[in-house]
Amino acid sequence: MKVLAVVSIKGGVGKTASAVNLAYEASRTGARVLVWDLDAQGSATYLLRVRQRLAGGGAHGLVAAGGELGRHVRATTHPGLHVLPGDLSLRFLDRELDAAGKPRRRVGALLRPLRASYDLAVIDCPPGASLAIESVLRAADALLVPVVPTTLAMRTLEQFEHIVATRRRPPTLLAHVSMLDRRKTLQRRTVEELAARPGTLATVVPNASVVERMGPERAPVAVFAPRSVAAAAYERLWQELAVQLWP
Amino acid sequence: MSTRTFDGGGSSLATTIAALEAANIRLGPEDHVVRTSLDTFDGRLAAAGLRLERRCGAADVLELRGPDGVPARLTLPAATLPTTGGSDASPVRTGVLDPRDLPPGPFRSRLTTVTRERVLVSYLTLVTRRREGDRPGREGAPTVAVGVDRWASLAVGRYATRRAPDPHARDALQAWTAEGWAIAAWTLEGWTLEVIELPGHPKPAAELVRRTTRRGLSSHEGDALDLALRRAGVDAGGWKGPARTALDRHAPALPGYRTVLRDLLASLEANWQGTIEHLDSEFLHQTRIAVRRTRSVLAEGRGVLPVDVRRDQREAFAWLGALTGPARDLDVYVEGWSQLTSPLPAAAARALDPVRDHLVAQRAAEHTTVSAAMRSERAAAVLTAWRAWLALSDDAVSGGRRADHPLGEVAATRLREAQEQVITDGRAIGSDSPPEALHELRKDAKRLRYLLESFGPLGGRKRLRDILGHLKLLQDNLGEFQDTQVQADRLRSSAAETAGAGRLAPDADAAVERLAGILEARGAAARDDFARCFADYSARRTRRTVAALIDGMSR
Ligand SMILES: Nc1ncnc2c1ncn2[C@@H]1O[C@H](COP(=O)(O)OP(=O)(O)OP(=O)(O)O)[C@@H](O)[C@H]1O
Ligand SMILES: [Mg+2]
Repeated sequence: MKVLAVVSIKGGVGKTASAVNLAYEASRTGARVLVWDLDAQGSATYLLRVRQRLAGGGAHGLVAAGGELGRHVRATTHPGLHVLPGDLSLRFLDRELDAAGKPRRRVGALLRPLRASYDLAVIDCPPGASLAIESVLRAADALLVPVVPTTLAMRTLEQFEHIVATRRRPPTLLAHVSMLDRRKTLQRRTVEELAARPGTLATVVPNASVVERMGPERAPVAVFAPRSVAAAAYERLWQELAVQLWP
Repeated sequence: MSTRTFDGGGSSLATTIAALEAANIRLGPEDHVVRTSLDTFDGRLAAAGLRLERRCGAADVLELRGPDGVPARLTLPAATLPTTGGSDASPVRTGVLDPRDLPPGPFRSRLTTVTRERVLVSYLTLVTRRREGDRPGREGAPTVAVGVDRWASLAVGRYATRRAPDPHARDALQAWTAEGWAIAAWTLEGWTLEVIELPGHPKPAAELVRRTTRRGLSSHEGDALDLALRRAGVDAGGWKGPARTALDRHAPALPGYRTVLRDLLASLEANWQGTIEHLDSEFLHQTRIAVRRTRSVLAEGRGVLPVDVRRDQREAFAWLGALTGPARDLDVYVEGWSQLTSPLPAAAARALDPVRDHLVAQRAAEHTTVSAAMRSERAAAVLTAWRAWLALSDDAVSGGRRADHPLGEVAATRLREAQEQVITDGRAIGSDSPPEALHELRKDAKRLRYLLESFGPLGGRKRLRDILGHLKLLQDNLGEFQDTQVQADRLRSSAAETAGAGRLAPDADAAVERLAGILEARGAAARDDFARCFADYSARRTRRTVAALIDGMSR
């Protein structure tokens, strides 16, 4: 199993949109995928039409010693794509991790029993940096940072470069341009700057209203708008990522 | 997560649909689907606990399930899913799929790590009108899934291994082989209901199974294809390798020899068509194993088998052996190419690509020759005559002088000779002996090996396993010594042929010499290791085990 974590210090950059659409593409092309929604907002869970509720004790039951991820896994409408739901109790995740002991190793340890059953785990992280994110970094094979090409965009990416650089076995740090508005010169210039950086994927996800429609449709873009530019972008983005994950 | 399938039999489908709808199950529209169960000829996926289905309907999907039931689905546009094999004239293709042709990623690698050099063949095809459905949970994601199939027809794949041939399948057999596709086909009526448990929701599935059972329907573990495989008598485990009918050491030798030969014929026949079609290299390999072992039993049948039968069949099988040799050598060469060139730097390996292409072309030509010869009247006559003689009842066959001697005694005598030959020839080899002496010993060892494989079980399986382990060490050593030299020679000659055709860059010469050098060094290392390997085989302990085995056979 490969672990792909979608992360960013900034909120609202398209992490959940990427996590869900890429997970769907992966499952459509033959991978057994588990989306782990680590965000208390539970947006990924919502988009996949699964109840935002962790069975038996919420975040505590999830990470406490003896906790078992498998029993929280739910099927989605898409075969081969399962989800580990997120709910509000995850806002105390750091505290629970700390209480469980060895918090930085916990995410990897929890995933271990599921390694043979899934080819890919996509972890949709809440924005920011926290103990939970530290633990995710340790378990991840690759980090994907969606970057909205605004003035401070490069900075958020550099912050992650910094965090990752201190690791002994760093995960591959990848970035993709998110919500690009081509009409804006400044954005275009930032994209060029980003493209020059190693680890930036060539595919750009444009600012598109179909992506916003994922909310009311509660489905990946390719399900309700298969011919849209955004659907094609996620398909290509996944192809690029797959090569990185399974060289 | 399990799937259970209810057999509708003659009961009303409408009632079941109504019951499903009453249980809040939303059913989709009916789709015409072709469901094919795929595995390698020898069932490698099944052995690894995997199950692969190709489902062709509105979409063309491959679905792979492991023991934990989490499905992997690969959706492909019809045009990109390769289907090869079968005669081109045939309107329906054999449904062969080479997993190495699939797009890269976990789906392909999960398959290829198990199938390795083998392709996937169709075991069974079920054509149905299918409706899929599920019961949505309160947010919309399903809590249990169902599949309702109205069966239309079923066809057993040509490469499927069948448990007990169905007498009804006979006519169908002829009707379908002409199409080059299936050996049996039925038109069906009836339907099935699959209840598929989903993660996190064991209860809704259990509840649906309970309710349906209460309505008087019986269910089976697995899905509709599993049920169809069972119904059609197809062994989902595939071909199990050469059969080994138990032998009686006290029984007369002739029937015992014929039993061994019959098992080998079955193995030859099982792999014959796949070899002709060159589906994958393992078919030819297994064919050759059966041919070589048959030749060995014929050779060792002096005084047991009738003189004329032995003479004619030795000639026939020598022809088959010689015919298939070059193609097998090239298979080994081509399939081992990347391993062979792996010690070279990437640029040097690329410089040799024209040599590989040359070998690939030669291999294709050899396979064409093999296919043509195996399709020839001569081959058909060989098989027919051999089958006919082996089908005669034992009373109708009279053999040579020793035909009535106990099988164990006859086989023990031959084994003793073969063992002594190996020991004598091996001991005569010193560090300055010529290569030919080792090649000769390799032949002795092969003769011994085949005798052990055919008749060794008469002397005890545990001892046999032990002996074969030691003998393999020696054979591998002798093989490495000779084959590396043959490969080096072949590499040089292929390179010369390619260069002659003007297709080789000048820098390839250095790469050829470097690779040949590596091969020769491996050969030299094997030569140095010979004394150790032979000492292991000729050690007192091993010799004692061989003696005990031989004693056990003739007692
Ligand atoms: N490419 C896009 N084009 C237009 N809108 C987008 C695009 N990607 C995401 N959005 C919208 O932007 C909002 C934020 O997206 P999303 O939830 O994916 O970001 P996020 O990084 O996961 O946010 P958070 O940090 O809150 O978890 C959502 O309303 C989403 O529909
Ligand atoms: Mg989010």
